[in-house]
Amino acid sequence: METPRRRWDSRSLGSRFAHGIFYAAIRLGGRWPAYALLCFVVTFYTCLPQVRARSVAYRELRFGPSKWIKTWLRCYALHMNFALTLVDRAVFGIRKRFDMLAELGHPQILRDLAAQGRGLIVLTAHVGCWQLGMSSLGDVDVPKAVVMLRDEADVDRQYFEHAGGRAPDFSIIDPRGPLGGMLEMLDLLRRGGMVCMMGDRDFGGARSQLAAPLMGRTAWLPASAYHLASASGAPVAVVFSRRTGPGRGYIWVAETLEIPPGLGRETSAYTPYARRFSDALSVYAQRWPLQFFNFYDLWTEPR
Amino acid sequence: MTLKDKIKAMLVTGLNLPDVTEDDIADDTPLFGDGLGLDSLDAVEVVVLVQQRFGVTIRDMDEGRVALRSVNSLAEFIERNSAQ
Repeated sequence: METPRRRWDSRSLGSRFAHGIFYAAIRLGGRWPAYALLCFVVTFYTCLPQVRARSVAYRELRFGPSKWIKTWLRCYALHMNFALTLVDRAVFGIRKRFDMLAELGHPQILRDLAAQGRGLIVLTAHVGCWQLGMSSLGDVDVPKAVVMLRDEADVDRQYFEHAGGRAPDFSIIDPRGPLGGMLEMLDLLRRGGMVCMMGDRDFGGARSQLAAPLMGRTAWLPASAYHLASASGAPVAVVFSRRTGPGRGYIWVAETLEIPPGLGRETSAYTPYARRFSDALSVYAQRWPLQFFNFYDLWTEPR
Repeated sequence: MTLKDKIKAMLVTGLNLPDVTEDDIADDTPLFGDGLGLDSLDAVEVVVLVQQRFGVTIRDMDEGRVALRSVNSLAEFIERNSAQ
């Protein structure tokens, strides 16, 4: 029985020991031994109903009903793609190897937006190789921060957390910090900095979320980026990425948003901008359905 | 009109709080959580309103954490920083 779940946390599925095996394989033999291990690990986890349940809301909406074997195989492919991006992230952290190509001219879009001095909000989603996306934004020469939730039980390391790994050129803002880290974000934007945050998952209550159609059904998306943009005057760049092969990714600016100042506290005022984000995300899911890694139910109304 | 009254008016009108009047806000009512019930999105609005209406900037989290506790603390912060 696969029951969709609304709650999400950043806890890793595997143990610290299991992750250590992958990291050791990468240190000893590079990415291919780790990819080979995934065949067993992904098969194991895909056999667990509670793991499959994490993506059932998305899969049912995106693919519709199908026979159980097709459903299982699709779930396996989704899990495998996600696991491959995690291995790529670890390889980047340990061996510094990952080729992220950008759509021609799109890095310049980000540089031009940042050069306006109004701050820049990079809004992305749990798709493709988003975790490596920030590593490719290094040539946007402004102070940067990533809004990132780190759970105590999250033993899967970010690329910059590996021993000897490249130090990140951004700070981390914890959305569970005081006032959701919003004042830190506002401060950075006012200083012309860049804040990278997720546009498809929220940790707050119902007021911090707004409804927008995603793949034809109403989803609940975080409103904080749009509030911040209106309050600070910062433009918003919707940036997506996808994995294109072993150790390779592609990143592009899917949309840019200018949100008028002074829209205030009423969350519904930001709905048109969230719709543009959700439209872009719907297009992504249509084109690369097996790189949509938001493993929880976005379509259930929050309480 | 005292500074604290101006702050209360700013909160009620600037945030467009439903069913709240200036008289409902005591000087020491916590602005966030169980008190006035503001949230993190409101914090951003309050910071912007304070800058617009009083010309005072709440620069970072440390300042904000102290200043945004209540009307009292916000008034102290504005008085201290507008004098500089």
